[in-house]
Amino acid sequence: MSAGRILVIDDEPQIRRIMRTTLTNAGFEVEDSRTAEEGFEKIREFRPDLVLLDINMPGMNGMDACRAIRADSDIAVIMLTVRNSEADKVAALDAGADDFVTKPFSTPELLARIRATLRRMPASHSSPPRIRVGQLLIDFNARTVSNGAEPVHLTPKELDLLRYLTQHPNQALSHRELLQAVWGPDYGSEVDYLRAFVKSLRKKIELNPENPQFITTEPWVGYRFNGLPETS
Amino acid sequence: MVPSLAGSTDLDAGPVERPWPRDTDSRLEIFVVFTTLELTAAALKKASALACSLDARIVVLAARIVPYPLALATPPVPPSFDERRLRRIAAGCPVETTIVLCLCRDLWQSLILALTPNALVVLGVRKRWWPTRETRLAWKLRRAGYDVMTAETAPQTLQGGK
Repeated sequence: MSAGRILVIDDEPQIRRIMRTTLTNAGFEVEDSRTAEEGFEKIREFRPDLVLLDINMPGMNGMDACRAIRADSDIAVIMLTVRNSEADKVAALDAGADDFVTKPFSTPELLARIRATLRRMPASHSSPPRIRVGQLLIDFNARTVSNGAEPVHLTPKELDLLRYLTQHPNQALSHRELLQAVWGPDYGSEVDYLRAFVKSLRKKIELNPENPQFITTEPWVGYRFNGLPETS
Repeated sequence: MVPSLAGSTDLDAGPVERPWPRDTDSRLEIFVVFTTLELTAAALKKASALACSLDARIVVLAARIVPYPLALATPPVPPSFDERRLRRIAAGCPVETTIVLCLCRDLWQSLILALTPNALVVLGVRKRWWPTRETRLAWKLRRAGYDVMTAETAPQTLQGGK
């Protein structure tokens, strides 16, 4: 089981390589990117729990990147920098960072700070590994779902969509909200794509996809996940 | 991935047994309805991207109308020619693709018989301000209860000449 997903945004390839090795060995899923702009793409695709963000980067600097991340998500952010002045720390924390680590740093300290930051994250951010809704069993770690039959594999996007729906049970979620939550803030009008994914999900989780029990359509609004998920 | 050909089928003879693998597992089928080579290639590109994200399979449905003076078994264009062309455009698909060539008298009837109820259909359409033949087919399919996605291609500009 992964301890969490971490995105490293740093322009120095050595730092990225070391971070990847260290964090992977500590049980995290790791992705990295060289610039803030690349990082935003990765945030949409990889959906990390925490971002390790360097302050000094070519193009958009770490402070601006942190403000941009904060503008549309509450992912945990730890800033990495060689600067150690009080003013820099204050600026980073005011920009929305959750913590601040000065280079060079010791690996145990960095890991401890990551664990502490992840512990402080709101519970809604992370899903329990397995949930049950009636007969439906969803295993987010194994990426499978079963409804009284053989477990069926879910693709990453299907899993993200199902995760979001189960995090908001019995609520009518609009097409736009679902598209932006799963595909990113640039999406919102691609309803036919969403419809295709819901169709595929229904085929995998519903006993009768033509008469769905779990994911129902809210006419002219979006979709609703019926039932209260219980941690299994 | 090499596309498999499910063979030609006569859809004029009433309900038929589907000649391609039955939809028994939980994988979604995405139908691409053949219109023209260019539009079908655009539709296949969109369907492939979707199929990769959904772990779905693609079925390219090509309904060939055989005019009445001819027997259904002897279409004006040899099925082998159509098969070759379809194989060529489906050859680049990264997902499992089945080509179904249907010989029929009526396009709409053959589509209704071949598509599974509420199927997901991807249709290549020409981007015009007026409704094209493909746009009207997309509307008709939507009215019949199918989920239709369109892959639009920009109009070609005339080359050369003053």
